[in-house]
Amino acid sequence: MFFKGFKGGVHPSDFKHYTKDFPIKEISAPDVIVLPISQHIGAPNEPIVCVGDYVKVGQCVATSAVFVSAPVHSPVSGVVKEIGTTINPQGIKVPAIVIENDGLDELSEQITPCNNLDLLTSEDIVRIVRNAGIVGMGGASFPTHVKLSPPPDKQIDCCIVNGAECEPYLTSDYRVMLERPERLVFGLKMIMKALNAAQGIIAVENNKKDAYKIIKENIDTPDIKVMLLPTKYPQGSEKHLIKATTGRKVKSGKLPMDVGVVVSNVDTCVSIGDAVEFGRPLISRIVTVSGNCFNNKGNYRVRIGTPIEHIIKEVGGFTSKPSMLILGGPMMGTTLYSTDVSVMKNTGAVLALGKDEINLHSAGPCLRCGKCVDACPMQLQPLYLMANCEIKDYEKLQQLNILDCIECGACTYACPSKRHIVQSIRIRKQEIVAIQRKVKQ
Amino acid sequence: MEENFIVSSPPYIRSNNSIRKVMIHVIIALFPITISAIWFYGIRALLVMLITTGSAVAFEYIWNILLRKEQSIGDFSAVVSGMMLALVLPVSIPLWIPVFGSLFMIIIVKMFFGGLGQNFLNPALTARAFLLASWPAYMTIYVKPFSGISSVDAISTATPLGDVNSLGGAFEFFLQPHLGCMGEVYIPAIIIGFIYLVACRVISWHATVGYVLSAYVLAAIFGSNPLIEVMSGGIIFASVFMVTDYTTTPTTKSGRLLFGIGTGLITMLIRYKGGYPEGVTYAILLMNILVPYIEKVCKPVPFGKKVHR
Repeated sequence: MFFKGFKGGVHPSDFKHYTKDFPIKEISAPDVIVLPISQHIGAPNEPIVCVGDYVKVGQCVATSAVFVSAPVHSPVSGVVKEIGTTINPQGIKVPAIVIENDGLDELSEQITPCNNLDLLTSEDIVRIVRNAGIVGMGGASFPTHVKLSPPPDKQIDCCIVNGAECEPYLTSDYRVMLERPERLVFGLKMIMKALNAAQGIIAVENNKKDAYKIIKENIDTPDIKVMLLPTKYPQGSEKHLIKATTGRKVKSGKLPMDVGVVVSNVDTCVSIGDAVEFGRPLISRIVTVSGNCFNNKGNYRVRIGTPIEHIIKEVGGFTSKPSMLILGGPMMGTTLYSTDVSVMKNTGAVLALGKDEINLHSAGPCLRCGKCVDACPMQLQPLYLMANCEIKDYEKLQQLNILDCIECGACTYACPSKRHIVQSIRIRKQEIVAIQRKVKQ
Repeated sequence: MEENFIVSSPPYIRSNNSIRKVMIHVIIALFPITISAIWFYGIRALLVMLITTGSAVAFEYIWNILLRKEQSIGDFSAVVSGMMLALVLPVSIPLWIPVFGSLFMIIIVKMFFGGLGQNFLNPALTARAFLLASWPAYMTIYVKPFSGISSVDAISTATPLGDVNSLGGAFEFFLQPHLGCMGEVYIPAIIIGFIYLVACRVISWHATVGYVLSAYVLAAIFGSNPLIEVMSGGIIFASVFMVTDYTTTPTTKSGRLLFGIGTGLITMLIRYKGGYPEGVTYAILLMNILVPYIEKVCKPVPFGKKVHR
């Protein structure tokens, strides 16, 4: 038996009790949907509707012919009001389609349920997943159909569903696992079928034992098993999850498929199930709304393209003015400066944190206490990385394996001196990647 | 709705640990030893401690004022250094000497190198080495516990040992007050401090255990009673409070173990083959210098990388 888990990691207070007992509720569609045209990593989409067009729920509104891309569908029915720009969570201006919701929720004819699931081939599933615009909903937004069609020399034998949800505050995956376990198992079966994989694993952290139990009851095949993993941040990191569940180690600079594994997020997996069986494209997702400042914390089904402003209004606003508004978790999410940002396919949470929840202390000197070294799940030496980041010594940084950093922030969380370790690493990493790309060209 | 939100780079939450908390933990861990020193040596022990601590804080304060730097005494590191310095001095020391010790420790060892976290030598031990070189006569007068300071005649005799070769004798030795510096006087108090620091996750056990074990093994090789050898002099005190100093020791667990083993080796070589009866101070200072090399040797292997040796 191999050692379950990984070296390093931290145990932040998880604050999941805020929202973990709230069943998923629907948030009504807003009057105006602002839909960023490209919501994936890869080639940008082009809009295929014009201003004034009437679109229906689930109708494709933007797509690209390039393989590494995922189309975007209208989450409401109504008239296209504008094709302009919006800001994405990173604060960058991106093209977007603005749709005025007529409230009728008329379904598009493009949505066709599958009439015979047994006749589906793996090519069919990949095509359906691509047409449904499904991307990695855990945050990466990598088009899922690309993951499902690995190069022929790479045989995938194990599909893992990442139910670790190791970020504090987040409970959306947990609620999905509790409420739709049969969809999850079905989605995983479809992934396995698409990849011709023999084995499926649903990995859950051991602070979600009831999800573990309910999934176990819903598994009807010996090919799929559900595993309990130790609760530790960043258990949900792809490489560490593979190590913990299969014992395989993804080599530095390699991908999960190099060890025959594909990892999917819980919500992605359920969306694949919905897409295959009902032909339903990705037009909504589950979002955790949490943090001290929200009046009604909870887990909500939100349509893609819903402005954050609308969510805040629908859940009853703030109890007190938040210091920080975060899309995603507090360890790796992005902060917003405006509420005019839309929910995207990879938005797992909206957090409004008060002053008491975040840490605004200024950084002190490095004590060389080694807490960052103990915390690093990649076994790097964050203190030396940071020292060399400050003097921009790219060569030394590469010797210290800066490119292996997964930017989980465990070092920074653990630092008693509140130093901005991962922040410095992130900047230099981007610079080094840019330099390497230039050299290659 | 136009609100002003703080925009930052993740992570947004931090552990509730801080430099000050670490220092306060160390101060608490030093309490049993402080009390035992006062118990065995009288109120003068407290006086020496107040002088070193007070002067250490004062020197750091004045330095920061003179150089117009941000005031740093609030992190309590000077308090810890001051207490440590007192505990590596004999109680009979003339009261003006510790002031020079503090001056050397704070200004030359710590501040000249850039302040907290930048010094490569253990401040308290470097100051002790400095005092030992400057006023050797005062630094080697050890007073017997409970004898009072005035009886300068009652000095420099070995603590009478029982039958040290039996285990019972060794246990008796463990419970006895020991002749030496203030911090070395009562081993059970040091062990309490160690347990506290490990329980609060301030230090890891690696350097301490490495040091004590290697000293034990070498003493056995050199043919003396290893239990008594390890418990005499400053080994136990240094193994808990000196080789676990953050700034001047390696950052990896394997590195700390190696650091401890190396310190034990040098201590015993000085004790048996060198000219000094006590080698703890120099052993640790020598190992401090080797830290960059230990860090290189004990560099952790990143996840998914092959071991290159």
